[in-house]
Amino acid sequence: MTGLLHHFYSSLLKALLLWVALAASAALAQPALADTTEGSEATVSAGASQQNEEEGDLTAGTAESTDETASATDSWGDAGEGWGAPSFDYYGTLTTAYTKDDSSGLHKYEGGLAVSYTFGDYDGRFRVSNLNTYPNVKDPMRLEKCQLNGPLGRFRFSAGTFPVSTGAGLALNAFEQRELEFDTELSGFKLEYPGTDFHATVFAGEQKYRSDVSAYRVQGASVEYAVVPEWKVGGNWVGLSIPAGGTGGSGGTARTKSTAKSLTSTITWKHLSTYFEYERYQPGGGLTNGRGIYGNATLTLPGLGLTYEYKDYRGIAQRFMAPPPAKYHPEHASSDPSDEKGQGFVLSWSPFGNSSFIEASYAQANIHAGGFGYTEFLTSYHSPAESDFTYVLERQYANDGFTKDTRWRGEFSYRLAPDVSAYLMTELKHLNDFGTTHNEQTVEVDFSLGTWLTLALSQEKAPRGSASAARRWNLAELKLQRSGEQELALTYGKRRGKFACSGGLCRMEPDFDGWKLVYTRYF
Amino acid sequence: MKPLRWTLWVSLSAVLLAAASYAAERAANFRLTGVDGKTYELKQVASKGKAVLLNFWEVNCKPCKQEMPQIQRIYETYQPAGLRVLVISRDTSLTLSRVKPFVASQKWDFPVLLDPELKVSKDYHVKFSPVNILISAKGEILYRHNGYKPGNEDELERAVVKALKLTSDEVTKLKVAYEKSEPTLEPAKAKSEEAASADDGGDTNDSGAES
Repeated sequence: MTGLLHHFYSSLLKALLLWVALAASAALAQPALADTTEGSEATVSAGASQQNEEEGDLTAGTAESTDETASATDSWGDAGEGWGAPSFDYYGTLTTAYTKDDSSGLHKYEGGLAVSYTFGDYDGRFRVSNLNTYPNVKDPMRLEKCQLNGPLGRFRFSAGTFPVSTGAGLALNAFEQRELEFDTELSGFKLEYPGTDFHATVFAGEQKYRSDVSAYRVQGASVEYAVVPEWKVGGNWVGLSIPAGGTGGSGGTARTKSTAKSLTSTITWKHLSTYFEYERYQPGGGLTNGRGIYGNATLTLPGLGLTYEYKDYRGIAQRFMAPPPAKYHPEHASSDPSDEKGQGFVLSWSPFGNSSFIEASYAQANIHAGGFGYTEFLTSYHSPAESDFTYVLERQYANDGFTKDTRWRGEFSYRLAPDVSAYLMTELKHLNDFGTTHNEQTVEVDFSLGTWLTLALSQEKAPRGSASAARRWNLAELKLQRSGEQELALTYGKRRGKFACSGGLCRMEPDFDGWKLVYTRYF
Repeated sequence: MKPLRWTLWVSLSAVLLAAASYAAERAANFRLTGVDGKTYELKQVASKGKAVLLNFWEVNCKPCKQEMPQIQRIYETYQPAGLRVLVISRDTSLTLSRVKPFVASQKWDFPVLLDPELKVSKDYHVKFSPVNILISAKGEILYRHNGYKPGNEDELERAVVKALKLTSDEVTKLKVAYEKSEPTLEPAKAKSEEAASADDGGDTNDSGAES
C-alpha cells in the first residue's frame, strides 16, 4: 500500500508541476503571439487569393471570409518553419472509469490525464494514468509517458518516452498499441536528421514493463538514402543489452548483448512499388543466430490495388521486433518470428464505377520443418454507400491443420430518418475440429440517434460441449457523446473472451461479466 | 487510504475540468508523408481552406470503410467552399503494406497520410478508429466524434457547414453543384496534389498520383 501511494503521489506531483509549468508558459507566450501576427501576413494572403480562384460562383461569400481566413491563419500560433514567435497550445483528455467485473473479481476505479502541447518548434505530451484495457488488470497510478520533441540545429530530437522503428519492424519496432496494452516504447533520447534524400536516426534508451525490475537497454542507428528518386536503400543496426537474470529479478550487473542488423530496399516506379528487407539477428549467449526476410510488391491502378507479400522468419524473436504478420484473418493475424515462413496476396478492387468494392486475400504459412501448415482465404463485398440501405457480405475460411474455421458474416445498415439509423450484424461460425463440428452465432443490433446516442445490443451463442463454459453472452453498450467535449459509455453484461488482433498484434482478451462506466472529457 | 486517493483524483479532475472550460481546444500542427510520397503539413493545408477535417482510419477497420464514402461526399460538396480533408492512416509497419493497394481501389479525392509510429494519433488522443476531428483555420478544434454509425455523417456535415460559415442558400448551391457533377478519378489527382506542401519536390513520384 505504501508503494502504491508513493507511486500515486509521485505521479500526481509530477503532473501538477508540469501543468503549472505549462500554464505559466502559456501566460508568458500570449504577448509574443500578439507581436508576430504581422510577420506572416504575406504568406497567408497568397493562400487566400488562391482560394478565391477556387471558389467560383460563391464569390460574394468568399470575399468576406477570405479576410477571416487571413487573420485566422495568422493566429495558428504553432511555428512550423520559422513562422513567427512561439506560442503555447495544448489539447488533452481526462478520463475516469469504474469497472465491476465478476469474471476476475476485480472492482476498480481508474483515471487518466493525457495532454499534448506545443510551444513554438517544440512539442510533447505526457500521460498520467492507471487505465487498463482489460478488466482483470489493476495498476497503480503512474506517469506513463512524458515526451519532448524539438529542433537541434539541423536535427530534430525526442527526449523521454518515444516510439522508434526500423524498416518493416524486423530488427526494431518499439511502439505502443494501447488497445492491446502492447508497449515497447523506449525511454531515452532520439536524434533524427530529416533530410529528403538522406534520412538518419540514432537513439538510445531503456525499456521495462510495469512488473519488470531490470530494464532492457536498447541503442541503434538507422539510415536511408535515395540513390535515385525511384530507389531508396537503407541500413539499420540495433544493439540490445538484456539483464542476465531476466527482467523479473535484479540480475546483478551481468548482461547478454545481442545485435540485430538489416538492409532495406524500396523501389517505386510508375504503378509498381516493392520493398525488401533482410535481417540478421545475433542473440549472443551462445544461442544460434537468426535471420528474417520480408518483401512485398504492390501494383496500383485506378480502382485496383494488388499486393504480394513474402515472409520468412527464423530465430529473430526478441522483445523489440514486431514483423508483419504472416496471416490476415482478424483472429489469426499474428506471426511467429522464431520459426515461420509464409506468403499472401491482398486484392482491393472497385469494378463497378461506384463506391462498392471487393476485397480478397489469401495467405499460407508454415514452420520451416514443414507441418500441418496454415491456409486462409478471406473475401468480402461492400455495397455502394450512396443508398439508405448498405450492406457488407463476408466469408472467412481459416485452416490451421487442427481446426477448419469457416464464417459467413453479414452487416446491414439502414437509415430510418435523418440522424436515426439501425444496424444489424449477424455472423455464423462453423468449426470443424478433426471431424467434430459445431456452429456458433453472433448477432448485434445497434440503434443510433445522431452522434450523441448509440445503443448496441449483442448476443453470442455457442452450443453445449464447446470449449467455453458459458453458452450465451449478452452485452449492452450505451454511449452518449457531446461532440468534441465529453463522452459517457456504459457497458453491462457478459463478453466472451477471445483472441483479439489489431494492426497485426494479437492478445488474449479475457471474459468480462459485470459493468463498466467510462467518462471522458476532451479539452 | 482508498477514499483519500479517490478524493484526490476527483479533486484533480474538478480542477482540470474547470481549467478546461476556460481553455481553447487547440490543434497540434504536424507533418506526415502521404501514400503518394508527398509531405503534408496541417498548418499549410489549413491555410488553403477555411476548415480541415482529420479522419483517423485503419485498413482493417470496418466502420471506417463504411464511413469513408460519406467523407468523400462531404468533401466533394464543400471543397469549393474551403473544406480540406486529411485522412490519417493509423496502420503501423505491421499492416502498412495494405494501405496503398486499398487506397488505390477507392475513389478518394483527399490525401491519405501515414502515421506508422502513431505520433499524430497520440497528439490527438486517438485510441481507435475512426475518429473525426474538425479544425478551423485558426487551429481550434471545433468538433470531434469517436466511432461511426450510419447517420453520424449528418452531424458532421452540420459541423462542416457551421465551420465554413455557410448560409442555407450557399449550402443549397453547393449541394446542387455536387449532384450535377459526375466525379471521376482525374480531377481527384489535381485536388490532391494541390493540397501538398511545396517543399517536398524530391519525395514525389509518379505512382502517387493514382492514390
